[in-house]
Amino acid sequence: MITRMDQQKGKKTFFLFLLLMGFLLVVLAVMDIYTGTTRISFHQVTQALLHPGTVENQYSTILYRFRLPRTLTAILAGIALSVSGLLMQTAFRNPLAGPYVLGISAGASLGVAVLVLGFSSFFAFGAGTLAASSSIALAAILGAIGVLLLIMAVSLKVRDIMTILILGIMFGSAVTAVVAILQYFSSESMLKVFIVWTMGSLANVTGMQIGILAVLTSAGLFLTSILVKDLNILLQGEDYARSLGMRIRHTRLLIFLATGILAGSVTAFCGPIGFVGIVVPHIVRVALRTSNIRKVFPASILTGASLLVLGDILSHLPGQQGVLPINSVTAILGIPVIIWMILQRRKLSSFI
Amino acid sequence: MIRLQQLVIGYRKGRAQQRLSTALDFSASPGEMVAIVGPNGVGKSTLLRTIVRQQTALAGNIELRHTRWDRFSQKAFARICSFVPTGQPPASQFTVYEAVAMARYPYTGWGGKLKKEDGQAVEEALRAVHLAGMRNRLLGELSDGERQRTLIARAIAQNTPLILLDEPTAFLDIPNRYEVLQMMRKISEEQDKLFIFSSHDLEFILEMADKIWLLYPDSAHEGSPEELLRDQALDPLFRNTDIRYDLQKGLHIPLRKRYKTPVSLSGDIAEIPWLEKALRRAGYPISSSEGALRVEVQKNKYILQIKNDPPREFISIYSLILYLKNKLPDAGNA
Repeated sequence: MITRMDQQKGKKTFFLFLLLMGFLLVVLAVMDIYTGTTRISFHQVTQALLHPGTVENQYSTILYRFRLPRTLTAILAGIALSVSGLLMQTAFRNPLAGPYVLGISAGASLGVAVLVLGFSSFFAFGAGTLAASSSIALAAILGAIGVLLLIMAVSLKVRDIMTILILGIMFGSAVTAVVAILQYFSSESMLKVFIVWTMGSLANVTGMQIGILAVLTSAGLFLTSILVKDLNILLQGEDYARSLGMRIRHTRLLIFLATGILAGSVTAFCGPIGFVGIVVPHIVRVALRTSNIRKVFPASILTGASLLVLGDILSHLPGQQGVLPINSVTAILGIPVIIWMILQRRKLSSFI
Repeated sequence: MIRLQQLVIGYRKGRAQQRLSTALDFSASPGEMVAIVGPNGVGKSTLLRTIVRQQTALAGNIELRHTRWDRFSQKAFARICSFVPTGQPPASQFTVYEAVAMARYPYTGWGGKLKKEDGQAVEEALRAVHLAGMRNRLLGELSDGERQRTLIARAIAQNTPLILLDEPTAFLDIPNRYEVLQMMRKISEEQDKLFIFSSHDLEFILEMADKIWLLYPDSAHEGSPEELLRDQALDPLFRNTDIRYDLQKGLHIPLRKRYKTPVSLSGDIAEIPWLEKALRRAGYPISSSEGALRVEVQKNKYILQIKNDPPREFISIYSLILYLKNKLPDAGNA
């Protein structure tokens, strides 16, 4: 009897958490829409949302061209980053793994750098058009998958997980060095375009790009949902997974593909946004006291979205002039959480 | 059930091969407990990993149910043979039930949803290792013994006729070692499963295993523990040590130095053997005729008489031996 109650308690905690996070996400999203660098009254925002056309054109434009897209981008990017972080932590069975740590974002920035700095004439020609945004996304994804494939090739040769992680960081540094060389030889104007991209921004994603981001994120989520069963087994170690008849290379390939799509597309449109991917799965695991991907995955989606929307709100708090780079905000939000987790638990392996 | 035919295990490094064994010809049948025994580094884990196809053989064949073991598809193999690797599972925040339910992986669809027979298999496995009441405990909160039992439950839930375990008793204290092995034995008898495991716990294996696969760097033997003992096949395991096996005493260490003054014992018959054992370890032979050293054993009291000195009383075996060692450090030379 006690055990059945325990089981129900675990389920209850899970659904309560989903409900709470869903509610929090709605509240934060509304707050995000109602705040911004331009002062618009609460009443006017509500009017513009409920009865478009009755409000001054300028406010309507700000809402539909800037604030709504920004909030949507924050939600999508939050989801994509947390899920890709969860995937990497699971595949490498390492609590500190994430797209950023393993250099996948560095790969994406190399892709963008080659496009922006290397083929800058092409970029200048197509700036702002769908063709350009799609090609940035494509370049970022190619770069991300390039690094991932490199890590995957190494992980097939090397068994030790720490070695792979260290090599991942090495790859990231090497790629960053190449990007630096590209920067050195590029023109000033293109350099600025690239530097601004690396600072991260949720603001410059247009309607069409949000569509692409949404499609890619959905594709990544779909892949992940297929992988849930395998991910849980992988957490038990690859030897065990193999003994259950899992085709590990196949599974790894799908995991890396999903991660590349999710992290690559976000990095393409918003720049490299760190720490969300590492922190969110941990928050969920601590809150739910489980590593079961079946629960951690959906909970990470809602938590990740909430966290990045919160980051967006903080990046343009009322009373300040400009907007802070989102990358700095997530780092300032995320690093204390990571430090707290490391100090809380003595055994690193119990993080996952 | 399983037949190793001229199997050579080891590692490939490029074109070079590092052989770990001679050609192995082992076999085992359903319902048996088979222990893989051998010195450290001889390839016990490698042999297990070769059987479960985590590693390729350098030569030879394994016949599983009259089929070459490398002919099975991954999925079919997972329904014949389950494997419990050594060490603890890295992910600790799973409940016992969740961990055992993972073993149904080869039987469930891509969603991993447990059907009725999957649920039943998990329940049965939990009951077999007496963990049904702990199903909602997290793996990280279990004791080492409970965790090992969870892993065994998992192997049972995979519902395979063959279960391989790499050092299932490592890191366990003596009662837990016994319990884990006893549990395996019971399950193998009741469900006609074949357990093949590596272990260093010779005392238990000699009593509880039906068969031993004995590995040495340049030879290999198989047989019941008794045959191997009788033929002194286990002796190389104890090379450079004094450990011997004796039908009455089991594994023991015979004394080498017998140069000290003999001691004669009298008194409480039940207490004497304990003192005798301690004296032997300290190097004092026991004599039946009264000599220079005499101890009279009473209930919780030991009265020592050295030659004609006044008798001394000791309340513990330890204090008596300590006194003897200090008082007569070189009595043997006398």
